[in-house]
Amino acid sequence: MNLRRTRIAVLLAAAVAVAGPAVLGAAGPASAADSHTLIQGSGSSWAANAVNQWVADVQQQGIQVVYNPGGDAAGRQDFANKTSDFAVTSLGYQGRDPLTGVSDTSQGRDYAYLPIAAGGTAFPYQIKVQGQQVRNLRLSGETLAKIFTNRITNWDDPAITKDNNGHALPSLPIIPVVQSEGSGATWQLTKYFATDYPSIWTQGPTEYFPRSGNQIAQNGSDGAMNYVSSSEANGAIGYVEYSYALSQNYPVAKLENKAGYFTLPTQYNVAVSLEKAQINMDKSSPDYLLQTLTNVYVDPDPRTYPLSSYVYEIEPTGKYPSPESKITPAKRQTIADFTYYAICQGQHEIGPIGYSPLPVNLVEAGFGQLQKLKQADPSLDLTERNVTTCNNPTFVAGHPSENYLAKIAPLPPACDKTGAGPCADGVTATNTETSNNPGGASKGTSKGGSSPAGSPATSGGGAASAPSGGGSAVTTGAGVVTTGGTGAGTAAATGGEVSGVADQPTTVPADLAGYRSGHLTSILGPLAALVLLLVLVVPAVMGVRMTRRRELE
Amino acid sequence: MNRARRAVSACAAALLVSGAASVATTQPVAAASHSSGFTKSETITRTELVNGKKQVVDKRTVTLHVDDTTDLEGRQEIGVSWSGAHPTGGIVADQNSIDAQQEEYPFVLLECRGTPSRVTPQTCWTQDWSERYQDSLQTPYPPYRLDAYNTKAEDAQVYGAPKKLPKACAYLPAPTQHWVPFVAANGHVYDGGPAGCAGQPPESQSVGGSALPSNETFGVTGTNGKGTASFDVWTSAENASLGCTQLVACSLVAVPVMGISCAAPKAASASDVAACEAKGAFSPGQLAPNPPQGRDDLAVSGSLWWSASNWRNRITVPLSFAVPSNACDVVNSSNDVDVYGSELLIQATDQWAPHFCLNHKLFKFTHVQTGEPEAVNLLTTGGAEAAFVSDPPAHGYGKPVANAPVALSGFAIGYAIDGANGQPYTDLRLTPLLLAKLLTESYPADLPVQEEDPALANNPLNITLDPEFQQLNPGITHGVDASEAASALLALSSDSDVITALTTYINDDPTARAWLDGTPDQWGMVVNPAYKGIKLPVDKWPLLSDFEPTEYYQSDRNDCLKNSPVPFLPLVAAPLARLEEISEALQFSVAQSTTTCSQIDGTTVGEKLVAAGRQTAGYRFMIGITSIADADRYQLQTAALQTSADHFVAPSDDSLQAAAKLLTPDKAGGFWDVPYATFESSKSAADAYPGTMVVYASIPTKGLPAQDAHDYATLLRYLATTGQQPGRGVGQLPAGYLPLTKANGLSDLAGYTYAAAADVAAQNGKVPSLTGNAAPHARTGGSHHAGHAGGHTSPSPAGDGSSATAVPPAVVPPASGSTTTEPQPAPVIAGPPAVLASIGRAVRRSIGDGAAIVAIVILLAVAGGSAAPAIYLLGRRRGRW
Repeated sequence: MNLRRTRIAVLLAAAVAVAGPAVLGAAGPASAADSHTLIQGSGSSWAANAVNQWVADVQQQGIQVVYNPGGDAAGRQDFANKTSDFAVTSLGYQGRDPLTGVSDTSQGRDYAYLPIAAGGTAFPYQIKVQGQQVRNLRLSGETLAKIFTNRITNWDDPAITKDNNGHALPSLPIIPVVQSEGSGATWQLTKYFATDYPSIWTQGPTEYFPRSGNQIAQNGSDGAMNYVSSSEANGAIGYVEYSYALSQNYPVAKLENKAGYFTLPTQYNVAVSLEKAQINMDKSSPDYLLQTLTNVYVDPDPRTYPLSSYVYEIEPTGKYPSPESKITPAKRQTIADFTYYAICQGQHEIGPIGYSPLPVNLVEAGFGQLQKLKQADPSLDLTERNVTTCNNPTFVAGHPSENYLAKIAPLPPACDKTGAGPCADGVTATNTETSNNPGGASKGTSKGGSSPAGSPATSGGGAASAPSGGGSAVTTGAGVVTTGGTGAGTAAATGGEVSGVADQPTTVPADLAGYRSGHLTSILGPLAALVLLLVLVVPAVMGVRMTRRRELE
Repeated sequence: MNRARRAVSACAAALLVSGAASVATTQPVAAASHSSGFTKSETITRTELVNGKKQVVDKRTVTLHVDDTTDLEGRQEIGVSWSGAHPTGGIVADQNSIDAQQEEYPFVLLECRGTPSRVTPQTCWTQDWSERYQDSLQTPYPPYRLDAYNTKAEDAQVYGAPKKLPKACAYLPAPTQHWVPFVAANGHVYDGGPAGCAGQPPESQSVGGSALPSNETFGVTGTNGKGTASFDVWTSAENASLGCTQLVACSLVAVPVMGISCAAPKAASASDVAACEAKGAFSPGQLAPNPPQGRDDLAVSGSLWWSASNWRNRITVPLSFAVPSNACDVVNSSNDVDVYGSELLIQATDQWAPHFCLNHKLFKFTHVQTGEPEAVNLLTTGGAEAAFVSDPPAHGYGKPVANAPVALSGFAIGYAIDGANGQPYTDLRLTPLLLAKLLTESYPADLPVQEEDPALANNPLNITLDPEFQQLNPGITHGVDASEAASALLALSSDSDVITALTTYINDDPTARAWLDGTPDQWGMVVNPAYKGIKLPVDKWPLLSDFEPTEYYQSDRNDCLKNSPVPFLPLVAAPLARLEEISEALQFSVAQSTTTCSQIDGTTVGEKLVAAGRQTAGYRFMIGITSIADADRYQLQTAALQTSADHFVAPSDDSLQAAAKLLTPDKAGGFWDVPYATFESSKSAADAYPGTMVVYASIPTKGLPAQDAHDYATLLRYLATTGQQPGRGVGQLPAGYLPLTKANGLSDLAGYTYAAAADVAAQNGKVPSLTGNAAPHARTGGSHHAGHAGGHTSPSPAGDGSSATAVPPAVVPPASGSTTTEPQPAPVIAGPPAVLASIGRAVRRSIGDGAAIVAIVILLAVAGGSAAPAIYLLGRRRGRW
């Protein structure tokens, strides 16, 4: 049997060299692609919370997808090795990783990139002061670059105090938490550092974080997030897609933009930021649709979140059975329909959980990329799979390059500005609506026990949410960054698990105008979107709807 | 750095002695007897030629039992058990791997296209060419050519080869060959051959592999002749080349490998015959070395499952498949109705959603799966319009929101544990204290921790060495080799109401609470000091141990931990983000503890800690939190949890029913309280399942856009009525949920949901009151809320001005097969739901009924100006029947 095994290895090598997919040449193409079959993808853990939701959704359409979030680099590698049907990645094939020299090509497999979601790389952190979690930390890009190069190693560093408008944190060593696998989040982070702070981050961008010093390496977004939130990690700060922090109700640092405001990666702010992304629109380029984010980093819009980015699917565009030996007609149909769902209907549900929907021009470009699948296999059915059947909240009728979310994105409150604030926890433009609210702290209302209603500001709540001075503002005593002992407005001090240090200061934003107007848009926004949608869809569908109303009401 | 793995196999080998030697107890069949089960016995033989005469050298009566064979869904796990087979030797870790074919005397399970009378090896799925091709360089008479049951054609030196050998195969085959081509559902023949040179199906492992572990199973038979396996059934959705559907018949083929019955042609040498008559290089129960060294005797290995001698001994089980419920159109631009939250509902919403998408007059219902606390936050802040939660915020959402019950289910502690006899353990019992021990990182898990951490030095290494566990669960090896997996409860990393319920159950038990506060258990085990005095309940389980075994880290045994030291026990706990991921880990027994260092090319670039991976069959130990419905869907074993001192209750309809009787309305909060403390203190509650949870749809009654409000109301009405009808069909309630019906004492809950629909529709800012809504009738039988008196009283407005004027709900759907209409506030189309249900998995309607309904649909659709969808539906329906 030993002999058998050895021979197998030899034979395998020979077969790869000689045969390749041509072996399958005898195979007649299967009949029209009228069915779906299981497909598998791998790659970005940054995007996994969105992709997994789509995977769950499309089961109802008979589409089975298995997604393995092993990291962007592994995803591209799997695709190149033909061990997957598609990949998800923040960046394209690099040839070689600029820092490590790790090889990175598709090994000749035909492919195209297609944007599937936007999001922000967030900085969850754990800083406990007197046993209470700080929740309103803010940091500049420069400070972060120094933290992740071990030049700033303690939370009482003057640079951090300065970022927080003079509010100092106590002495506590910083534990930078980096991702150990080849990760798109690492790439986005180091690209940002290398572009904007080349004198601090001198190594250039890379997917493989060069861990050193006090840094802790953890595998994947899950691993990094689990470590940051574990008890021994007091002082830790990591970088993951915003959705990972939201699912644990974990605080993330506000990041300073070029306008001098500290912002969160909300779906609105990400939408604003990515209007400045330079997309490669050269259809002949292998990097067609890939992003250059240099202008995002320096966007002067006060709503910008500088570490916003798109994430891409890599789809197989080779003809079956040669040169593409794996993508049968049924598989290609499944890839097309899964992708259609993702970039179309799948967009509206991901904003609230921490991503940002694609703008219409990229969705349209994505449909263009789906056509490449049809070029590879004319039997592919793409009927009605187009922009008009999407329900995407970013669409502005007649203005395909505009992003509705960016238009309605609220301005940050004054307390988020450099030299002011910091805002109390929850006082900011948040992800879930265009007004300030204590959403992040509302959990305390159900658990803390001492909290009264904590009635959060909602779109219906109007001006009630404006924080009043009472009970929230105290001046700096110990010089500690406040921990959000109050929610905004109606929420009183909670004393709950996430509440702040009661006798510590919270600075009240002086100017609320910016997000008061946000209240209005938050009410009108969905309505407007609905109206737009109704205008967009074909009259027949409206007819159906009206019929239904007549029958039921 | 494969230290951990090497250690595991060494341990496994050591354990083998005790495992194989111990007397096997009778192993009950995993699942309860099922109406669609299958049992069959066959007497099978192996013969040899002795002095030119055929003589039986091995004879066994094999009995096969399969617990579910009809209305199967894709990726459904069916329980297979057998007895009387030849014990297996040379056992490898993964029974679904390519290596597993080299086991000796495996019990091979294959999914094959064709009915039992017509099935051949050519239509049986294997993941790799090596499982259907053999050749021989050394001798022209390898065992498969000496098979006494071969046809004349099969006696040829080259059998089954393609007429014209593809170029890629040139020079590859040895002179003696046996090919078993695979014939795909579309008729295409994949000849396979050496290295797959003549073509393999696209789903094959070496073409790119499958995302799922392959389903061909080289099952392990214990020394007592018994064995079990969970077989993962595939439809064309999972494997198009195999192509099983509700229209294309398939079978489960069990091939109990007995070895080749040999003939002895003159040309064959004595050594050829001896190789053919070989009895195996491994003794029964012996593990194969890792990595395998190819020492097996081919004549008795799984590689020759297709040989005439083995194939004739097969037992074939007909399988039938359900019409898939995944019938939603890819393109559908109707209104989106999203509900964020509870993973407990996934199985139900998977069946409910198609009911809505299939009716073009309705909407697209999407369940966006998040933890409940995140959903609460989203609803509170306006990021989501509706949430599925189990633990509504005590002080509300800051706006009028109805908490409408939609399901009664709960969490389960799932497990995959092999007992000392190597067979799946099915009677696991756990106490709140044991769960507390697992969660608090109080088992050291690995020797370096036990040696270096003084706080845990005297605690048992893992749960199997804990006397409390041993007393409750006899028959499990003391000191399993999967020590890390036996030291932690695989739990959630995200916020979840499931964690709240679980930690409430633990907290309400005085013994567990005292232990958490520092009182050692009676054997002296103490809580990890990092958790001492922890306040419970919590909705996120914190990872608190900060101990690093520094000597171990500073040694060269784990490069990752040497370079990037982190506390060890949180790596052992390794919680996952979703319940579904935990279910999958349990289903395939994939250990999650991330303590193995993986490197690329031996450099530190990209080195990372990875999960331990799939456990060895016969030596599995996995335990984790799942949902009752997931456990049912994936056939996971679920633990019985302690209620009163000697009572242990597993999730079942009966134990959920007992729990339902204990629900108490919380008038202030507007929901039903599950009184966990009662479970552990009250005798009347002794049979109630303590993991019971109610799932609510929390939907605002103010501020929703009119269309959305209307659609959410329609959703609620459906979920309160027809959606509670049990079954596997579209729109029905799958197993794992106790229907909210009068028969189950839950008509109050359904009635409340029905009443809430009216307020949601009206957006009047009111919420149906629980005032005047007595405790469930099982307790008081006094004044009543909606749904009593046969489920036909109106929901009580009770002076709260609620607009609950809805038509009373048919809380108990008709039990007969008659068409179920959906209660609606106005005359309504009965047709569509019925037609749609017929597309579902459980088609139980007569043709006559269906035809009439179709006619109604067409009429209504045309009248409504939407002929196209109706015609589409009709076409679809015809296509299916």
